Amino acid sequence: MTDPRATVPGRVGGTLTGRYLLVLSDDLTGDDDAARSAVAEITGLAEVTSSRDAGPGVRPTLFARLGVAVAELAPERLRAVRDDRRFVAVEPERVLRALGTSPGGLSADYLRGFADAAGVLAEKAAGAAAADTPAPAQFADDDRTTWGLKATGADAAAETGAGITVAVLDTGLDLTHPDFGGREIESRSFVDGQEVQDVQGHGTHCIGTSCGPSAPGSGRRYGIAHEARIMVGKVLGDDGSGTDAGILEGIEWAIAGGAHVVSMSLGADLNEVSAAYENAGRRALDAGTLIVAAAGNNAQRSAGDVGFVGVPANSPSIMAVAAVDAALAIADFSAASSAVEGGQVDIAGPGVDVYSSWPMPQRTNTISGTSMATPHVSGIAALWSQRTGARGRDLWTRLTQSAQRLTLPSGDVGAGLVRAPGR
Amino acid sequence: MTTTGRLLVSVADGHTADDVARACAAAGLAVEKVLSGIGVVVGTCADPEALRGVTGVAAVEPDREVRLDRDA
Repeated sequence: MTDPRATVPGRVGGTLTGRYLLVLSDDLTGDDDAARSAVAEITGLAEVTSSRDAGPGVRPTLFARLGVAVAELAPERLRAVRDDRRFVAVEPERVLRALGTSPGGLSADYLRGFADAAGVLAEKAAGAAAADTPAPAQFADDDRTTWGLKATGADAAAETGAGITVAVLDTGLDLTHPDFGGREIESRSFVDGQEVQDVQGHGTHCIGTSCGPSAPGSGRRYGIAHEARIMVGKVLGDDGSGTDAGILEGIEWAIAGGAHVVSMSLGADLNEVSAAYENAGRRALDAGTLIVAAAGNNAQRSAGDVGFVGVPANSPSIMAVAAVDAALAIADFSAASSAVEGGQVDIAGPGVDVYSSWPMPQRTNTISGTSMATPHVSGIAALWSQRTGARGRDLWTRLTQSAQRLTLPSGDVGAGLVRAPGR
Repeated sequence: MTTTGRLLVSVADGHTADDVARACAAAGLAVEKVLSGIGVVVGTCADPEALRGVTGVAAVEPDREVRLDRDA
């Protein structure tokens, strides 16, 4: 038997041990017996020791809970593993080193000198960049898609939101709008004396971004989860205002109706957490429903005021969404994290000059706000939910893990720019 | 911040919204809605302070006005 500590030089990324890591499929992960027999069969090993049974001093072959096995593999068996659907991947085992040591024998003095030089260069570069204002926009609408769909990768995602329900609690929807003809829609008004029909425009715009069509009758695409089932809860009246009680009733309706994602582009500039919304957010997550809400537009950054995340986005169990512009800079109005528990911004979305549906006959409109960033997140949440089956807290984790990190303070943009699943 | 005169009563963990609504009604809450799925009872009460000591009540807040979050 080969000494497992013996190493062979690797061509890329360090040194290899000569053994292989076999990544088990989900079906085998966690099932010790099935994993053991699959690994024995494919490697030809007479005995496969699971980490569960390995005593002191015995090196296990199989880490069933992690879904990984480590084994020597004859070249002719390598191909068989790659063709075996019980294994997701096979890769050479590498030798890793602690990161605190000097790589390649470079002295501490040399590294300090290098760091100083790099610092000087970085300062020069920063100075040059500052002189280049305004920063050039990295994204722009074109004939095919809005800048927001391009910036988040939503235009390139394979998912459609099919099988996922998105509830948008807002000013309602223009139910006659051609963007939503033929779509599965459930609607209810929680505003006394008013129909679901959107007069204000805000709700139609948000639903257009979150769930609008992949190919609108004319012009560029702005809709993300274009095959999602839509729940329209009118909780804000035609004047754009509503009450906590109506919104909470809307949340309850959305959960009971099977919404996987609840999108709320609304808020009050109140710098304290509401127990009622936190109860709602927590119980929604328990039921597998993720609530995303606009962080708020109470900042005026150009005047030195960064604002604060308002109710209900400041509830710990509700995801707070900030707005960035087409240069991926923070929007002037986008509220920053506050000191209350849960008052942090969790993620950011495109929220400046957002083109989307608008009540007929106008058909479309371009507006700005953390309100416009929020449906980008809820639509993309539906794509992730369809791709992975993730719900509630798992879906929250998916969104923040996959977010594109930005060179902006986390207090402003949280985990960064929401990102759709790639192909 | 504009309030509506209604109250939002949050239900503590381990209690049902129906039980808390009944107990609050006995303490003077005119119950309008029981939102069991999210643990909130909506109603009006002349003496909100009387509700704070009721078993199963986690918090009592005023129902406020909320606005859409478009950049003005």
